[in-house]
Amino acid sequence: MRIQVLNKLQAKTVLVSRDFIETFRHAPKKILLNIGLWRKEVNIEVSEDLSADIIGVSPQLFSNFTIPENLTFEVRIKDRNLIIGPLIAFMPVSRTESLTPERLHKYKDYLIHYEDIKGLVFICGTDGMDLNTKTIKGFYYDPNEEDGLWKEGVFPYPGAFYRKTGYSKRIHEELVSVLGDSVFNTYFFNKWELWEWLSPYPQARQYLPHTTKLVSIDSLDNMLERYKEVYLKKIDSHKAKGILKVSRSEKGYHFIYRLKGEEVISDRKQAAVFLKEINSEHDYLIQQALPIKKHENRPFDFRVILQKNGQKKWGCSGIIARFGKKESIATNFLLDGYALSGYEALQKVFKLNKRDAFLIEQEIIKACRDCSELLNRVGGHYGDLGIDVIVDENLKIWILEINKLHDHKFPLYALEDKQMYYKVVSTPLFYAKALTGF
Amino acid sequence: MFQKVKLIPDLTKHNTLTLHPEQKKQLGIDYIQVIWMRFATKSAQLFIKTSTELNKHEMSLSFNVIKELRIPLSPIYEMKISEFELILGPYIGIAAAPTKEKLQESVHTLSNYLYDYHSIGGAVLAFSVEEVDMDNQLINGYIFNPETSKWDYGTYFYPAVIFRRVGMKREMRKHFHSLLGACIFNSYIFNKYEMYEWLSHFSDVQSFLPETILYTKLGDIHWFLESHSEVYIKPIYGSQGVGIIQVVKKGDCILVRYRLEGKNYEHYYWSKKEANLFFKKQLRKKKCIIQKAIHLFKEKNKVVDFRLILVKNQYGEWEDLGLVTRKGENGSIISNISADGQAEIAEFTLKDTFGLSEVEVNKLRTKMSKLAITAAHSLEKSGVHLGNLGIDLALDTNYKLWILEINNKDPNHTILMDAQAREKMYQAKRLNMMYAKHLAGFSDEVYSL
Repeated sequence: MRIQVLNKLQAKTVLVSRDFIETFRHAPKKILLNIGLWRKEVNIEVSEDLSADIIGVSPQLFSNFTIPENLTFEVRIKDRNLIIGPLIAFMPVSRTESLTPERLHKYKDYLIHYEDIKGLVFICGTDGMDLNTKTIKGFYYDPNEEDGLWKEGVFPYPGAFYRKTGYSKRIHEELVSVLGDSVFNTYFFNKWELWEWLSPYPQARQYLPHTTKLVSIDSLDNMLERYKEVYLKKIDSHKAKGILKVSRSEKGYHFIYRLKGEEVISDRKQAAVFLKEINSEHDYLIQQALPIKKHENRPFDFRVILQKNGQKKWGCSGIIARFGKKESIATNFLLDGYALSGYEALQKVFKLNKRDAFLIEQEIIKACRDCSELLNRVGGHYGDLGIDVIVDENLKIWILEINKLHDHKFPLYALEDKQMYYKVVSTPLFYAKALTGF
Repeated sequence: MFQKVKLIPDLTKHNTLTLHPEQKKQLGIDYIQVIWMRFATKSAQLFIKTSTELNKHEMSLSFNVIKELRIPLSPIYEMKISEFELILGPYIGIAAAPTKEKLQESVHTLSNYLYDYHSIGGAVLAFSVEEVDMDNQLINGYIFNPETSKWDYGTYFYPAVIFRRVGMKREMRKHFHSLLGACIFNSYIFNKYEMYEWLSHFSDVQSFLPETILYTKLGDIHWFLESHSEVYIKPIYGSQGVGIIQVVKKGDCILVRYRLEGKNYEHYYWSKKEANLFFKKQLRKKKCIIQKAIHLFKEKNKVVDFRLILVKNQYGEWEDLGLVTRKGENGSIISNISADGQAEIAEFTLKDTFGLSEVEVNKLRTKMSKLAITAAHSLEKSGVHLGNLGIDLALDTNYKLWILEINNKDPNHTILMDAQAREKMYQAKRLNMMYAKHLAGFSDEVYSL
């Protein structure tokens, strides 16, 4: 179905074909026209010679925003509502200005399956939102152009909102108040919140390394009584930088930096001062160290890409095993490391046969799905997560971190797997479409 | 996830279920004193007691009830509350063989459906059609024992769901259907002509089907050859390329090609009469279809086509588990790998053999997946309950997509093994069971948080 502006029409009027009006159970005179969240009561007129796939609108009707005439929309009818869609917003940046043609071009892969999505899909920055007119400035995808082209416009609030950047509380509150649960990636929880939210539930707790807040040396002692080694990590940082490994021996407390080496503090009071110092700059947490399995002396972990699909169900779009630099404690494979598919890595590292590797892989997916589903029940609305998983030397599965802004290009530069990449970038839009009700 | 429990027989009390108080609370039956417990088609009224001496993953059930309902004790069960009943399950049946003897030989191979027993759970009964006692509603069959990974023979009542992998007489299908409702898949094995006929009512599938007619008399072949100079004659129930005859009209001459006992044959006939002698001999008593020949894409004289594995998952939705390319033997009319062909994952073939770019591969692959799912939905709209399909697709020389065949008679997904994708075959079998579990009312998405 396409929308066409017809100059002859009076304001607040839409024109439809005879065939179309018959899809209503009772031929309505006034209907509620819905596009995204915008809606208006309009008169409906029937034309004998209008094509069945066209809805004519008066020029005044959409004067505040852009509804391109050459896009194909889907239409739903509910009682006397005529709903046109889908309208989907994708917000990957904060400044509209940064959406240069080159930058926009990079997002064309997200629309690889536009033919199945249809409707109006636009990219915007946080500053493109106009809270007064309830419109958003951005760029919509025009499939008619060779290679797909993005065109500027102002659009009504959409039926679903896919967020992939930080934004202010004010914008968040506005979006949630009008879109409700049709916004996804709502809140960027930190490492501590992840533990706080999920650890009360046994289904999730079994996969989480024990975590506490670093309050004083007592909290460290407490953890070191339970575990031989613990990590001190910054609550807000996702980088391996700043991670300290701590253990205790008769010599005292051993603090091991990733790069700077080891520092031993024998005196408890002095250690307490040291902790106070680092804790004053950043909030730290203490985390149980896991019996990490190494391969060729490289640390390794899995990145599990878990996304909601067009059926609104969690699906695994890919599992990538990352092998870090030799002797390192980080798995950043770009520095002298490499990557393998998760299934391959399980066979290679743990010497598993295909069947057992399959079963462990299923268990990894289940762990990630249970935790992600739980997140959606206790803390926010997520549909596109990158989960860092460790399988320890006892084949036990641990979830280390859940990333809300994970890098979609990962399958490309880790495995050169374009098919996985296309799946990763196209799945969130299928989910967004499902959220709009289309 | 539902709570997982192990049953302990209670020899001291009658008609009583004893559980840990915390478990009772988690089930949301704090105030329940008496309840009906259902095990597939049977139920019993029980008094509920609690005891802190039990561990949270156990419950003890009076022995008289275990005996009465014939509940096997080795499985790990899940429990759920539905209306006024406590349901113990899932209890899944696999109709796996026609006879007792055949089942005895093959029952151990069914363990590959239960590698992930941890996710499936419950009682799984493998049985042969011969050992169903419809008068007493009893089955002699094998229950999977998760501790030993062996199958224990015994006599049980009917399961809640039947995954049907063998033929079953109409009378028995009717019997099960009236007792279990729509919990039998596959409910019906359609033949090649039914598939064509049913799907031709759906405009979004019809255009992907090569034109087909039912063979009733010799004249049909010649009539069909008039409008399509090249056709295939296929047995209506056949599979794996057995019994296919290629017929080509070249002027007045009729060329037939076929394969018999591993060899390819080719004959020319200079008149209809002559050809009819051949057809008469070949098609005697056989039910066949005549199908317009599609000029399939060939690589170095080898026919290339695809098998798409489509199964229902734990949500009851169709899931595409992979597309396998089959390359035929040189000059053969069929691509079937059981006839010495080769198999590989289709994404490679589409790129290397068909010369598509990565984007094109992704788009075509998605289109194939969508078409297969639409076709499956359409078949179900025609009235059959399915869960496990192998769909044969092909591209012609113009890269147009075709549906060649849809196999619902327990398609053998071992082709995934031939294509070095063993894990996908594991997944297919796992999902067959997860779908059965879903039908039994134990959906995977429910959490008891």
